[in-house]
Amino acid sequence: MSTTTDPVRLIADPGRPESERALLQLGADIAPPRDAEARVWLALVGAIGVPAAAGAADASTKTTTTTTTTTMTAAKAKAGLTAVKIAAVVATLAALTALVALGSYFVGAVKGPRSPESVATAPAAGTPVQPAAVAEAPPPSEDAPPPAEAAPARPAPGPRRPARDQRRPRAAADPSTTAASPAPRAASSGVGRCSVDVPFAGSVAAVGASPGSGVEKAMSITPDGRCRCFPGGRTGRPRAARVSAAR
Amino acid sequence: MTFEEAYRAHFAFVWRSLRRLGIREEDAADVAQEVFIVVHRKLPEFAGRSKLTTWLYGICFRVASERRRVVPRPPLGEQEAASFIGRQLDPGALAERHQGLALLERVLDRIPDEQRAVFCLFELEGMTGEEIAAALELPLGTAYSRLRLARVAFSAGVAELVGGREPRAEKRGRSV
Repeated sequence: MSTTTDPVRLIADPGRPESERALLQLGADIAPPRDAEARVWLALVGAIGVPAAAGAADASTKTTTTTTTTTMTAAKAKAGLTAVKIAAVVATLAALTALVALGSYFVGAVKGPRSPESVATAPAAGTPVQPAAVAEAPPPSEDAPPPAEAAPARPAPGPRRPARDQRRPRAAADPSTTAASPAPRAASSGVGRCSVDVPFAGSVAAVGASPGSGVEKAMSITPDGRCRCFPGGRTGRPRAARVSAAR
Repeated sequence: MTFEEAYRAHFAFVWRSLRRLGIREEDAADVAQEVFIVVHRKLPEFAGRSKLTTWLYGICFRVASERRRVVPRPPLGEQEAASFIGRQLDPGALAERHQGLALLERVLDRIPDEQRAVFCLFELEGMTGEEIAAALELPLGTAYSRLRLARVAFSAGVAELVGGREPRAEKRGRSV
């Protein structure tokens, strides 16, 4: 392989010391380990995306195609992940919005604006309603949950159930409460006198309060078949009232 | 030639070139991977004006030089090298062959990199002066000059390690 100008190689020069030739022969016989080629190829596949099983016919095209495909797949996967993230964020926001709307609805239901009708219709003449005897908040019972566990503006229904049960026969005796009635919708608050004006056509209407708190005096059935409640206390302190109607 | 064809055909060449350029056995796989990453990137630019091995060796030389600059080789102990010289030619001794390779590397390490590349390509790879000049982008006269200087350094290194002592005649032969 040498040209005319190339000198004789040391390894083939018998005039050179044997140690030099032996060392050079060792250097000429260097070969990679058996599995080195496969290991490096696998590493290359991982590093630059060369297809491991590419044929010899059009390896470069396959390489380009595979690399492009890999890149597109990665991009799609990334885009898919991004879409999933966006969808999750949107769903979370929607859920939060729904929760806020629901909470606003209930808060509005409890502390909603006083209807003009109820404001204007202070206890009508002839009705047995006495605002001064409006039911007061029930004293905390012993078996009631602690304040930290109970909702502050919503009394626990447990202790009040007997109260409704006690008033049910009285309300049932009223002939104007024979028809089915929709659920009460509003509780009002105000200064001095609070009233709840509830469309009432059912059999029983009650203000959530403990027995003996005078709630029955705070209720009235208006001539047009509506239940009027005055959940404000004697002090006139606005307070949420819970009005229920049993069909 | 495609990348895979080039890899299959010249992996051994790249491997032994890296080893002769001073890359350790345990590092050769990593450096070979670096070489072929460069090959994969630059293969479309290869115009074919020279042999592919010539072009590959240029890449090997640059990658190995950078590797040796970052990770210098620890020197081979004098005792280890001297002990090998007297036993290196025992046939069939794989461990001694490894020692012989280590000794060769030590001798080659004494040669400057530019001269070493020319020396290895000419003496171990069997390239011609013109091919070496093309691979290393050198004038032909420079390639021969470096070869001459490298030969002098190689002989001096071997003589120093052997201590002027030649192996016994009955132990001569290939150790592979």
